[in-house]
Amino acid sequence: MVTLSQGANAPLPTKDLDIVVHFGGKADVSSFRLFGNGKTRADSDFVFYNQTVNDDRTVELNDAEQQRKVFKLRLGQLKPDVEKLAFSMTVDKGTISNLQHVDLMVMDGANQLISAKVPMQDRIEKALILCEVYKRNGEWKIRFVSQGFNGGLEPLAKHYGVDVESEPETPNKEQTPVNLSKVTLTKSQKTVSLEKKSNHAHGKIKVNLNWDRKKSGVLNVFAGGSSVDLDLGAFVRLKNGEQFVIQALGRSFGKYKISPFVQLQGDDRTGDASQGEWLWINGGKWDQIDEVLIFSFIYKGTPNWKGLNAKTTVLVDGQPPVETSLDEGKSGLSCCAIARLINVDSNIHIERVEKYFRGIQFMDKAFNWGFRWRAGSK
Amino acid sequence: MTLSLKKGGNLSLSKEAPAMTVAHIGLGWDVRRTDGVDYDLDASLFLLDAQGKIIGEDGFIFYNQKESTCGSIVHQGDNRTGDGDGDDEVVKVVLAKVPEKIQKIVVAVTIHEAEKHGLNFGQIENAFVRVVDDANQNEVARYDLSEDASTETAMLFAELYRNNGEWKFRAVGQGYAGGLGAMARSYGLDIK
Repeated sequence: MVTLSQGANAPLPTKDLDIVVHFGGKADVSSFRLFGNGKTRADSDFVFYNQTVNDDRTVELNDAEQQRKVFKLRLGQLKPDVEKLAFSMTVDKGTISNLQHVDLMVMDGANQLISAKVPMQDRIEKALILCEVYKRNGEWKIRFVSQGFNGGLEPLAKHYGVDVESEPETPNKEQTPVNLSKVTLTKSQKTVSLEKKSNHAHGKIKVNLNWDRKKSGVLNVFAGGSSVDLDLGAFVRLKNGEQFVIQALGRSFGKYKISPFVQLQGDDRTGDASQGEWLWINGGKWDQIDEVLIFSFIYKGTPNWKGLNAKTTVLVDGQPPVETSLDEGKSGLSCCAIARLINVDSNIHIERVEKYFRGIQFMDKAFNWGFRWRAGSK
Repeated sequence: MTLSLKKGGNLSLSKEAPAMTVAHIGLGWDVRRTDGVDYDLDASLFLLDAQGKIIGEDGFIFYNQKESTCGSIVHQGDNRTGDGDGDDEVVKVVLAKVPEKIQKIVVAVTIHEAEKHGLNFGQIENAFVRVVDDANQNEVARYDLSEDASTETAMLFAELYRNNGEWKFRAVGQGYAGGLGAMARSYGLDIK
């Protein structure tokens, strides 16, 4: 018999087998049939206490006993495009750690092939992915996952692409359809709010800064002799109070997948790329973000914004692009606070700022962020 | 064309990509989709001599020492080019400029605070290491090691090594239970 710890996997020697979940306490188990993209396709892919067998009887749940649930698998009969079967458990009250124990057994008839024990310490999930049975190079394997979701069945089901009915949305007659044409923020129309689509997280939020580059020419020579390098940066404040400065200077590029969920995508120092500079904000983590202040400063060249035609565009999946241009063009001030993206009830509230400062420290002071500063270079 | 390697497999970079001067070694993994602490993985490199021992303290390249003394090996930290190819950490090696005394470059990845958060490589999906020709961004070799990973918290992903005047790449996929410290000590580096 093989004992698996969290994360470990093992080959399954037979296609007809039972997965037994044995636990102390009250819990429900379910199974998801997953295709190439790791998602279910239809309701019949979901096996649980209300639907104990799927359409081709490849997964059958024996739900009769309170604390011992048995899934009967016929892997050989699965449609060829099924990549994975996932098995999970959920509790209604408390968390998984309220159960006395959770044990997983893979049985070939009376013969136990595999055993795995869920570590119960410090569990705060309400739903747990116990294991995944998956095809790898034509062979079936099992991985003991033992990870889950604090929100219970709903995020778990969504994870596998199942639509779970939640509270019906109240139809709002005044709701305006999404306007996909461009929104331009100006001095008179300063703000726009991008609403969270019901139940879905925001996608990737992309912020672009672009400007005209004239590499040579009489005017530039007189203006200081070199082309201007604009840097894009951001102040980020998370809901937990942590604050970050994201900028190329000092190589503080940030991180996208993990805190602070904001990342600078390379520094267009040469000005060759026609696309300008990009900053990505992880919209999926927007609920953890309080505010992002987008700024730009002239890293190299004379601080003169005139004639640069610098423009910032905020792109959010499924939303119209929001543009604002830096047209007040102050000279002598190297730093410009462009816009603020503020989390207002999970919506992305975008406010045009366009205020110029002698340096980043002055901008910090003006907006009361309270960073401590020291000199840096690239 | 990309060559996908299996654990233990190797290929000659000098043969597969003869024009490559800068090898871009990309490492990646899927972001955590379940609840809990986000996966924070760190790549580090061990620069080894012909005896398989570290060349000195400067032979350990990691987040606090990103560049080799010779300047030919640079840990880029996080991907910031936005190529969309999903590399989470990138190391660049100027092959011709690597000093002769460095015979092997070992690429290792560790999970930050793995034990504290009960994490291991078996839980991390779609981990890979690949070699890309930095000049044209062509992928030369790739090793997907998710299936070879299990309960380890530190793993040797791959190594670049000299062999008869060529640079070769090997898919290693070997785990260390003791984390980065144990790994470093095995190469003769004393880490506190």
